[in-house]
Amino acid sequence: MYELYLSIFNKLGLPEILAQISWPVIPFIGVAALVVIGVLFLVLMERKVLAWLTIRKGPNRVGPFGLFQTIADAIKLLIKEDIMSTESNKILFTLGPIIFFAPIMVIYGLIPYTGNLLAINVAAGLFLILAISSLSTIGLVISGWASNNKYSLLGGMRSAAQAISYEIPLVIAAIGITLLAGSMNMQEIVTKQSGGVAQAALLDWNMFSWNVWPSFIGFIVFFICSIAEVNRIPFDLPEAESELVSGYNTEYSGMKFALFFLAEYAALFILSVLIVTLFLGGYLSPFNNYLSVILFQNIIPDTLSIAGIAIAKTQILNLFIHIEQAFWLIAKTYFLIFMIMWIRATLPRLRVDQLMGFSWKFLLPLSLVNLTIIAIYRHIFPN
Amino acid sequence: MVKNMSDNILIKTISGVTEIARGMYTIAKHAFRPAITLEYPEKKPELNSRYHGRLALTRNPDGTEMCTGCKCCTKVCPCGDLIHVETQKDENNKQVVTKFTVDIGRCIFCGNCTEACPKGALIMTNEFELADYSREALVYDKKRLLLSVEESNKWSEMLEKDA
Repeated sequence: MYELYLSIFNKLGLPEILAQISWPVIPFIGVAALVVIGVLFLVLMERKVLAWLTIRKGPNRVGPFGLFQTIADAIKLLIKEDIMSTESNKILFTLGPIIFFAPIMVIYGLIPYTGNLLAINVAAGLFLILAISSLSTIGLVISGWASNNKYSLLGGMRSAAQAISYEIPLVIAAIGITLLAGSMNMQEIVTKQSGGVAQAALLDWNMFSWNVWPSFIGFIVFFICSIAEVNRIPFDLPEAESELVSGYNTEYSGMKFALFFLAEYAALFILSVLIVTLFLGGYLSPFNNYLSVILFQNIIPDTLSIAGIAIAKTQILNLFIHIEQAFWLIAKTYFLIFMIMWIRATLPRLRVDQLMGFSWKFLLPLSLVNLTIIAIYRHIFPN
Repeated sequence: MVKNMSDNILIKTISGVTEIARGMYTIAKHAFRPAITLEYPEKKPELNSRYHGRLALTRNPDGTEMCTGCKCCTKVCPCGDLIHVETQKDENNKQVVTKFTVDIGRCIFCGNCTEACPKGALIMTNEFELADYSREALVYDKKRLLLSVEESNKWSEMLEKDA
């Protein structure tokens, strides 16, 4: 891909140094665009799915089928007055949403979207992701404290307690994955899940070598804990409307509230991507080969030239494979997000003591059971 | 003791999972029902004739007004002087209603007046979009309250059918 990018610059007569400088920036632009567009779509999807599951119609006034509803909402939030109460701590009040949002943005750069589309490839990527994702809770506590409001403070404290409790089973479930993959590199975790279980027909599908099969309990634990990590129903105690007005973001309005909103949905998306990457084979196709290879192998000519640049057949196929990998990742992610929304439409909110008891007395032992099962599995099949 | 506890947790887990699955199945079944939302300004609800809407005066089939000016409605009205009726004797010594106003802005739509009316002259229609720009505009006079002969026939039929 880089050679292709360079050759485009050479053809246009631009200096090569420009290409060298701009090449690493592209993924970050992509990540920023992905966050905003993904969240705009997710909010609409959430409202539509919830409406669909509760026999309503959902937003259908702005644009066709209400497609521009979130854009209208975003514009409304951005042009609203930024209200700060006089008794609040101004610096921390402003810093809160930023600290909440920044770590989530960083995680977007650490996850492989396709075989090559990975902004930062770190050897201990999984460890870094888990470490960074727990930072964002500090933002909630800070904004809860700086608001100088009892409801905000309670919401912030609850989110801290919840994050600490649910981080532990989450991390132990993730340890199982590092055991299975033998690595903490995200790219390697994905590639280790390919190949299937045997060389027979159907059994060589990637679907059967996903981590979800040996670590099914870990998948359940990780799924529940990530719902708790992103503060969604049934674990939305930090912003329990019926108890705490709106929790940590009670005092926020306008742009800062929009940032909280953006961060919440961005976290929902990226945690779903993380679950897919760790347990459901990431960007890998569930079949033994990529569909685009089967479909386009015989259609594409051996050499193709677009605007005078010769592109080999393998390069085009590679591009198609990348697009298909991104498709599989997004399809699996949206399936998980739909499951989370379905759970939201079904379950009521837990009590605080139930929340804590569920984490410490149930999920933590369960995650240890999962770790034991995986250890035995690795002992039997040390591949 | 330990065995008891582990059994308990296992049973609790299984029952919890099945209950959540049952709940999610119920929600999934809801997804295949048509939405009960009524997109109001575009689509209007179909209301029963029992509905307590705007008051109206009916006509006889020959086109004369049904109301005789007995003032029963003014006496039962819980809002005081909301309905205003003035009558006059004509040359045949028969009572004729000269003025009949209802202040819809203060009406609580209890329907006492329609029940008290001995001739069925005062009825409640299905009309509920009564917002206006001033309080004065909400005082409906006889001209606005009177229905046409066809509408009166329609309403008397509907009321008889639903009674």
